[in-house]
Amino acid sequence: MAFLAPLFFAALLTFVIPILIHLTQRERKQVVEFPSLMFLEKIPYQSVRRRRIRDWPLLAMRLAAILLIVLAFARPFFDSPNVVLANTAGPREVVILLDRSYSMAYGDRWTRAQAAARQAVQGLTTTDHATLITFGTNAQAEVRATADLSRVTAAIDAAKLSAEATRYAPALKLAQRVLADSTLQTREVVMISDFQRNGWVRDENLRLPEGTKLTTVPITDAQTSNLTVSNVLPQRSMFSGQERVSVAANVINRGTAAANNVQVHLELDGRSVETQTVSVQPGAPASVSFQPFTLARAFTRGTVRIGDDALKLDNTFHFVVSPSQRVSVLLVEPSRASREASLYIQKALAIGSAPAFQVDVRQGESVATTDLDRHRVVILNDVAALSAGEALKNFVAKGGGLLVVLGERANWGTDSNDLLPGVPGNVVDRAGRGGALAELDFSHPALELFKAPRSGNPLTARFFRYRAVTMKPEAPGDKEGEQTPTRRVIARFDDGAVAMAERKVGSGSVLLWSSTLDNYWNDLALKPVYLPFVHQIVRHLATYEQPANFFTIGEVVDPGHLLRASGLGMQSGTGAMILTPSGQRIEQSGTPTPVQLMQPGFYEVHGRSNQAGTVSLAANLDTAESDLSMLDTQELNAALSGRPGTVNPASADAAVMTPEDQERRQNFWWYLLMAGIALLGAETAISNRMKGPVEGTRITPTVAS
Amino acid sequence: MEQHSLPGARFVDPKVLARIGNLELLAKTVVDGFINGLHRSPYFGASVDFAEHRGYMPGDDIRRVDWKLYARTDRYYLKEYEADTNANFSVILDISRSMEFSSRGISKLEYGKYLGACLAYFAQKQRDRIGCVTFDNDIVTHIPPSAKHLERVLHTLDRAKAERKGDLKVPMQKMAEHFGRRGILVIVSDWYDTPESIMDAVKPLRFRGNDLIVFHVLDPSEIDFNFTDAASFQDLETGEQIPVVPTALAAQYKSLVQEHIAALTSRFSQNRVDYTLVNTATPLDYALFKYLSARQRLSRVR
Repeated sequence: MAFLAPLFFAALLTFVIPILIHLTQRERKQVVEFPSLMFLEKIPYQSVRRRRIRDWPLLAMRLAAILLIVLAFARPFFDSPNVVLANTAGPREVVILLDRSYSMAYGDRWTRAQAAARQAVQGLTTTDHATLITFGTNAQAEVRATADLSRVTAAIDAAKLSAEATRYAPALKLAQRVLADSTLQTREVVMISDFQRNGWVRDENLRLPEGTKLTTVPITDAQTSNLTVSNVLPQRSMFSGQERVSVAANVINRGTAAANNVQVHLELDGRSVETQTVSVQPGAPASVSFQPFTLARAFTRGTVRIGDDALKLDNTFHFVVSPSQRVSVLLVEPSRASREASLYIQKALAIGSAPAFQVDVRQGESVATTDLDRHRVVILNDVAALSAGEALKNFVAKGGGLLVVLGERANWGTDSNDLLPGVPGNVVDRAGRGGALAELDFSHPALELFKAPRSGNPLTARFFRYRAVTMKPEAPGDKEGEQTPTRRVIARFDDGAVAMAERKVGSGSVLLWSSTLDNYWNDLALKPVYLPFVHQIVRHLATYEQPANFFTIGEVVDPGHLLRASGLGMQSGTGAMILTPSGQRIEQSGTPTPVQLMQPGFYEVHGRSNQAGTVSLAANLDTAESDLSMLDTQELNAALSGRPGTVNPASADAAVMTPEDQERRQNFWWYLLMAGIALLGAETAISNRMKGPVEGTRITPTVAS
Repeated sequence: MEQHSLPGARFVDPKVLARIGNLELLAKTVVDGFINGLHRSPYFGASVDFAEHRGYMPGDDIRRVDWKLYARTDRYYLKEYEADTNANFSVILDISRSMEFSSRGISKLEYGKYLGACLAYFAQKQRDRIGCVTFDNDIVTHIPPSAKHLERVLHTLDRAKAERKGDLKVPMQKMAEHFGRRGILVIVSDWYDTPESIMDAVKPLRFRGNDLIVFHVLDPSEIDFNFTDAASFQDLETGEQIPVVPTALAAQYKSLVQEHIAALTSRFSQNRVDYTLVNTATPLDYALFKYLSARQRLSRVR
């Protein structure tokens, strides 16, 4: 016999209550009024024998009643072998879930896990169907619902550890699907894992099919010790006109014993440059800072490494650093423009470090093609249509950004309509207090900075003049895809006129601002939002992204985007080649497709165009996997079955029980409860008869005659 | 009605008396029957008996000079009498909370009231001036002695209720200051205090030359302590509780009570105070009879 809720046995402590009552309560509760205690107080108290139990039968009855009720609440049940065997008949659908996350590389866990999987297969008969699912972050059915057990065994032998973290949900969902498709009545899931806590998210709302038995096979160690490099933070600084980087690394001790004098090495481009020593307390992190080094070339590869332990994979952390990129901006203004025409734009772009802007100013109505090639963004500040219209179009199509600011002189006419999203018209003069921006599309990257509350409000600026812009309809040739329009109004004034519009041309985009960016036609330049507004527009046009120092295994990267963001000027459709850390080559022709990072180390992305170069990126393990603390398998069991603790995970041979069987095994508590209540009733009747006056009431003294 | 062994006496059970309700009728019932049984009062009967002559002292009232004797002896003598027949008679009743205790249907307070009423009735018959004082930890009511105050005294006794904690020292001190004229003081109490404290409280009354008569009223269960069940015993006056197993304590308790009674008997007699222990289980007239018989014997001795 076992108990479903043994914690209720704590209620047996209430035994003390009736015992105390029988020892003392009658003396305490009955109160006899007496004229004076003068003489009684003179008698030594010690001589009063009050600690003796009265009414033994009544006490025994009360204790028995309490015991029966506590037993009933503890929910006893019987492991009746007859019931189990009755359900073991018939073929079974067994799904074996084998954890191959990198934490299974700890010690000999992987070998033990494979052995446990083979043992589970050996327990099957030829009529049973078996499925092998290996899982890390993703799950894969190696063998699905087969009666050929040798195939399953072979798949277990062939299974290899991955660099992924643990996530149970994908594997369980796959198992759920396999079981749901099965026609066999008896369904069983055998889960072989180290059951890391990080792999389970409670609210994933997973349920195995009704009647499925989940057998958990924990592959764990009594004591674990694991050091991991959890993060690396390169910090930039300028020294003598050169950019330097100092690396700080975090080391976490996931074990239960302190790690003293741990050597932490920093390697740059495969060469060890510095070693530091650190001591880490159990369950605590420690930080290591290395001496700064001069950043000489792009994509410098760095590695922080600590000594070997039982789990070696997380002892290394890779990163890539490159010199900071400056976004080059070509600012074109009219020939005889006043000095203040571009003052505000220049001042705004002179501020900024991530990224820094390099602004070159040109005057006139023409731009040289060489100028365009050296810049990522061109700002036409109140200039008329350029003679180099075709060159501009090519510049934008290759990924460049163009900002057209309309003002007094910006008379583009109709010939410019190949480039702009709309046709600039006459100047609109707003009398009085002027107009204001009224309708902003905060989903656009240029404005999403202001989306959150209290993050700057462009609506406070007053606009006294702007050019009317008539948006052009979508031309068939403009469409890049069926769903995405190439022309888009981003902001409107309060009278409905277009304030800002965008047109996508090839890989780049053209932004049209229908008023000036100085303080002549509006006072936006005097508002606090002006600087982030200009920065964000230029950052968007330059498709600038903060370069990542490292990625995590499982993340997806777009080789084409990486090449473009690195300023290598890759053209769309030219293809790319990805070289994985293990030396595998992934050739991609045409437009590169996203690639999932599956191996720790350095990936190389090679462009295929004439101006292409190589982009390096670092991939690291998910350091959450380094935490080996274990999930309570009962919790997992309860979550998957929807009932708390109804399956005994230790019993690998236990068969699936129907609800009727479960009820039959557990309904003994009813009898116990009834017996307890009956005893209480009898106790009440007997004690009333025995005691006479109600306890706790004042009584008149009873005198022996 | 209970029959007792004393021949010729008719005694009334206090529980029967309790049914009468009217104190005057009660006292009449008790005292009349009592007097009928004894035919005459042994103590209060001769009130104007001549006692002796004594020599004249300057300051004596010359109206009290026995002129006949002067004629015979040529000396001044004054006539003195045995007793003052219309003395002040005061009933002093303790009405502290402890007096409210009863285990047989009649409380000590009720018994004290009957006793006081009977004695007052006696005194009235003797044409004494009757007064009454009730006290707990202070004087509660005070009826000055007067020949016409029987009804007021009985009314006061009838309405007395035990409500407060008792104390002897303060009320006795006040009474000693009050009773300027010598008289007969009958104190009815349960005397719950140490003998020393009781004597300290009572002595001032005695110093004034009053004739003190003390009744110690106790319930039979206070004397015999024949409780059976273990319980918390609560002091009626202080509310204090102590757990008591009577079977274990009875012997020691009874011994202490007897010691207390013996000490009081001894101390009162040393101070020429008439002390009588009264058990509320005994008939009222029997108690009176016992007391008066003893008193009569003592007066003969004197």
